[in-house]
Amino acid sequence: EAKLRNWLYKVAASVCLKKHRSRNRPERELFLEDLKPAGGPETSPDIPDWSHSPVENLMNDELRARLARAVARLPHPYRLVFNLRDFEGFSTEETARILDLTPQAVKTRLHRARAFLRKELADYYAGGAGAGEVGG
Amino acid sequence: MSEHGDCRRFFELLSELMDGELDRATGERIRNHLGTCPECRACRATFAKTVEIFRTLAPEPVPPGFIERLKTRLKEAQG
Repeated sequence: EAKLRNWLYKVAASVCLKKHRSRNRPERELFLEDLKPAGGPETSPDIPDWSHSPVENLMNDELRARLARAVARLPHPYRLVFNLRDFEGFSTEETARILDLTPQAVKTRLHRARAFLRKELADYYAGGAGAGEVGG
Repeated sequence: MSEHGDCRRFFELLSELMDGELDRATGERIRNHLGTCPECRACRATFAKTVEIFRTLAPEPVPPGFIERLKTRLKEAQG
């Protein structure tokens, strides 16, 4: 069953990539330099430390919509890796085989995708949008 | 986070640290840095929470009947 699952994802990923490439749009790159904290507001003591709040306290409809939009904004190659690794639970090696990438490329893309999403969330909480939830 | 080299290196390796994919020596060095750098500890905490939050999102269900149609197509393809 695991083999069938991997094969299905490989076929699906191949179809997605082919369809995406046919649109002939240049892919946006994510650069770690743009995503690393720079003494940013998410590390400031003035901002509620949402990292210790249970997920169920953080989650609300507004945040769900925000998360969906953030994932949609990930450039396609990063989104594919993020989906396979963090949503579908494939290992680095499995993801590499499915997408025909090296394991190192999977790690790099996953890290940049996560850093991008972290920044999106940090901005969300720093802006006070989730302050009611994080304080509870 | 400061521009200190260890902070920068820590941020580059954060995912691999979380996923247990670092070799022992590198992991040790990063953990030692974490012990002395509150900014990197805060960074790790929000990074880990971000991953946790996204992992709790329920996956979008496939359309009704998709699985059955897929099985049928696979059987047909097998002849």
